[in-house]
Amino acid sequence: MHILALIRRLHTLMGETMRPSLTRSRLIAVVAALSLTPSTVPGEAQAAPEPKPGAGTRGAVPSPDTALGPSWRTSTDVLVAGAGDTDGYHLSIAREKDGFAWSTLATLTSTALEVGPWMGEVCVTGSGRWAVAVFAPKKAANRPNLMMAGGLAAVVDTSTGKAKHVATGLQLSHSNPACGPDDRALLTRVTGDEVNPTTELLTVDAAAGRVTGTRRLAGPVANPAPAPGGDYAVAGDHLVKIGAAGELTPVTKLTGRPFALRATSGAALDVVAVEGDRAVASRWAGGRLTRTGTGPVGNLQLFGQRGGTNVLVGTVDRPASVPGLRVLPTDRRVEAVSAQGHLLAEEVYSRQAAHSVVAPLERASEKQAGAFMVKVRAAAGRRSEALVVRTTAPQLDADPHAAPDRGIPAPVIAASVLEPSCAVPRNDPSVQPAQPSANQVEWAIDQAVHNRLFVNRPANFLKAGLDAYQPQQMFPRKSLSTGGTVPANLMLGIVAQETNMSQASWHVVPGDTGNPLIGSYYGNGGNLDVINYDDADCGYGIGQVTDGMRADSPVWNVQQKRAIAVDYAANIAASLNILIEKWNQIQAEPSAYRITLNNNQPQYIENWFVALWAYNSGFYPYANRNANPDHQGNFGIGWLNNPANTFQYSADRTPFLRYTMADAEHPNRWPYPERVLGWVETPQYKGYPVSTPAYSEPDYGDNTPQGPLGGGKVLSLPDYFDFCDTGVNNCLPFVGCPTDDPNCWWHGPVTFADCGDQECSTEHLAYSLGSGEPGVQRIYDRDCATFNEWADPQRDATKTVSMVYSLNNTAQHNLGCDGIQPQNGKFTLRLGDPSGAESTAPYAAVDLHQIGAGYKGHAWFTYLYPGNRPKRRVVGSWTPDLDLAPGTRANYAVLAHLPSHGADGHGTYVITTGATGLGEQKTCHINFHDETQWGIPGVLGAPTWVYLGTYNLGRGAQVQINNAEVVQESGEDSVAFGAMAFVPLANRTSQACGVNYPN
Amino acid sequence: MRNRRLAALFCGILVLIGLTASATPASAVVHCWGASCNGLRLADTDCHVQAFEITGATGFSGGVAAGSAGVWYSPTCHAMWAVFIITDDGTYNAVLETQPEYGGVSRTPFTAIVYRQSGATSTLVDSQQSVRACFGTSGWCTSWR
Repeated sequence: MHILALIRRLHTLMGETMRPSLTRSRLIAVVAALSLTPSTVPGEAQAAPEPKPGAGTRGAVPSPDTALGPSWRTSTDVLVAGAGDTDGYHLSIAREKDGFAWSTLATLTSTALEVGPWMGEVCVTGSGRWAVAVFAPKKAANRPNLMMAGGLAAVVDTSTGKAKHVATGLQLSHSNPACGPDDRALLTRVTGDEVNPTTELLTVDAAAGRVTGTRRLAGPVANPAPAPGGDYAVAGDHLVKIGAAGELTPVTKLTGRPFALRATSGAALDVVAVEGDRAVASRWAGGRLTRTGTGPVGNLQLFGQRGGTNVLVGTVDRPASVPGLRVLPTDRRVEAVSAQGHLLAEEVYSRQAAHSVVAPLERASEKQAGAFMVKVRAAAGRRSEALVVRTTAPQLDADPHAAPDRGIPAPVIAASVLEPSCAVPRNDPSVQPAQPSANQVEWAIDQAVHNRLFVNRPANFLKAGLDAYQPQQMFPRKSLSTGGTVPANLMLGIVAQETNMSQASWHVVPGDTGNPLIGSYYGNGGNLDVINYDDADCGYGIGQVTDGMRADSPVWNVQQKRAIAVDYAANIAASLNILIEKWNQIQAEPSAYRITLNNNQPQYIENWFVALWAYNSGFYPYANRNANPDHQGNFGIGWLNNPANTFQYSADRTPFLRYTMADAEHPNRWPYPERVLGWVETPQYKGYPVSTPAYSEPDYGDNTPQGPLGGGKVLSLPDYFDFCDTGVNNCLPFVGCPTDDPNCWWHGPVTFADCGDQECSTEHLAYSLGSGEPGVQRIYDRDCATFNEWADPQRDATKTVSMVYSLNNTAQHNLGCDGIQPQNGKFTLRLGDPSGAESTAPYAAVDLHQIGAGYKGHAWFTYLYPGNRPKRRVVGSWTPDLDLAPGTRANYAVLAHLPSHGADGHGTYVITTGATGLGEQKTCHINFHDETQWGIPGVLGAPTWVYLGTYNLGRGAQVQINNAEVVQESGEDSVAFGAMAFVPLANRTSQACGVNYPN
Repeated sequence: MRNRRLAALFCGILVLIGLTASATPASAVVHCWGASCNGLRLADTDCHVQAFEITGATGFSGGVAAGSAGVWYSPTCHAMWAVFIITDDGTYNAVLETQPEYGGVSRTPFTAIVYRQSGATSTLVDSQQSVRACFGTSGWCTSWR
């Protein structure tokens, strides 16, 4: 996509009007600045000031008398919207009587799933009293099993914000949850896998806050709709009624591809379907199906209204007048409509999501968590307003392993907690990959696809104990069986979708070292209270290399496994081969059954659609068709990622990211290959303070489609029903597959673009082949400055300073700092409460991390947990070897190093003064957030040394801190364990706790 | 009477630590460092030099002091060990516990049964980890060091 169009789109996203006089490069900078420092956005500041913490509301519609009409003060209209970030999935409400000012309702999350940002879908019941939400970590969208059954559900009282967890293990689809005209809602769950899927339908009594029934359906359905006389859905090309036992009874035949279905309180059903290039709305009532309007695809939507009526939103041609259905004209696609249709929410996304689009390689900012951005328009108005809403709502902490809908408590998983299945460990100082910046990733991919990734890695690279190697000497590039090479941009799209281009954990910013990124190392689905190594995924690094990365796997030797874990270039070399294997696997099928796309030449990005599909959800070879009876003789590519899968994806979706970056808020609405190609077409952004595209766009063929918004070219994408043929997979074009089992698997050729006639795209290399590895583009400078032990004028020159680093073997610091001395004492961590117990210690390690942010490039950090959490407790202890003769004591200034990032919470250091027994114990409470300047707008945080005070110490003195949060301080939640210095003093006997050291 | 007995035992243990070691022929004394000290007897090393007790605890039985445990640290060897003294008539399991330097499940490299009014010194462990001394499962331990 053309960069200018992207900039316009970003401006649209940010609610800005583009000024044509600005140059392109200045525009990029402006976009970055707008996004990274939201408080400077002029539109926001003028619309209404940012709410002060705790205010929780914000006026949305300026001049409400004009925009809303005179009766707004007495209106009961409300709009509920949701957006996710690392805090959870936030629900907020705008009430018309407040001028559609926003109040926060609830934050839905599970602290047992600390796995990055959240996403969700929400609907409001017909009474307007209850919101029903299905929410899940965004990462779930990359896992087929979690797409089918990885969501949690809650009911939220829109009056009070009180939330209740009602169900677990739910499908992440565009039509889940589904609210009815009364207070019932339906939830769907797909159990099993692609081979043996089973759909369950859960009925929720929202007023009672519980699941009242679960039905196993006779087959898969899309768009379930609770109605006064029973429940309905779309199955195949029929509207069906769902019986008490889950039987599906056809009601009427539908035309087109239905993507929305809602009942009215009058027992009518409205349905909207795609027919050709039009969206067609119909009403089923009185035994007849009547057309109620048409509109352009993407701009005709159906929403429920309070009191059990429906509304068609968009550009509606020839609307019919039927009871309980009205039309709300707008020229833009919307995300939500208020209960009485007075307000439209055009876009809803979290501030973190907006930031991650602009700077995806940065760590998700705690500062931005809890704020989401909406673009709203009064139904009667013409002007959209971009707003920031800060959540102050109470949090619902759902247990992902409890099943309240079935009355089943969390399962007790018995498995070894002592023997990891994955080959390369976490929290090991000898396994600290460097987080690459995007330029390095693009360079490595450009080289790798052309078999030129032979950068020399010296012996003990990154101090990981490796022999010298070259990435593609260690992992020789495999050949495509068709000849040719993998397009570089395709691999860039994959690593963008899989890991946001991260080799190290998502806690680690480019330029830092830290723990490796490992998919489900503990096999716990992200649940911090569970370790189930048998279920570990062991996907390592930027390409999430899984094959051969279990400890007992003979595929790779120890050197190769460690290289995949620590070196992004080696990881790219290995993961490229996995993609090549998928291509070759598809090409190896018998010619009569082979899947070929277009002219099947690999240099065209579009021709990789099915290989991407297989990369995510696997491939079922022809030769194995009878090996598993459940396959029923079927083979090819599975159903989950089929664009025709209307059980999972809406038929009126627009290409991922093509029209709005807000698509990134709901990755569950697109099949995996569409998402990867979206990232190919629309590069992520990176950098701070100015963000630029993280990688190149492909070279578009002259006859590829023209993008929207006056932008440039875009990729040719398959039609949603191109992988749909009754003779192949029982899939009826424009209808879909009646089941979702192996009978829907696809094989055979598909043509959707004439690559020979410039309708396809090829790679664009940003780096010349054979060029050297570019330097990393850091977010933070390395903290290599040596502690100035003479900065305190009272330093006693007759004694030595004791420096206790966060690594006892200081040779393991691998960020490249010099001036590192041997350890002078010891640093220890103790995990769990009681520490060291098999029932606690292994679990406390789950949320422990190491990052290259501390003194000389290393610190440990974890999160604060309120109260006594036996499986979370982490205690850090620094014990210096003080320069003291036996039986003597001396005054020492005790100084803690606080890293620029990784510590934004607070904590109390306990200083044990040493002697036989414990000696005295003193305390010093430090607010890391303030000390490292995290509270200053625009400051990312700066490292500092801070006095913990001056103490008369004897041998055996010790400093400790733990992560138990006594007083909860919102939004600041991490504690770091860095270096500690003990400076002998000649005279001074006291020093206030918390004073900065003049290093 | 009990205090006098305790004092006498304590002196005895100090003799065990110091004098016994110094009485060993020089050729038999081993100098170890960190992990190389693991499992060695204090008396076979020079680790007592400069050593000091880094933490200790008194144990009680029925509200009466029953003995004590101390964890000792040798800067000479970067090694630690525990000294157990029983002052009542009970019999106790003496345990030296360790945890890996950056956390993990506890290990017990030294356990012994200590009878009434006697004492024991554990074998050495690398000091680069968390260490404490306990009397069996009775629940009284030194702090972790």
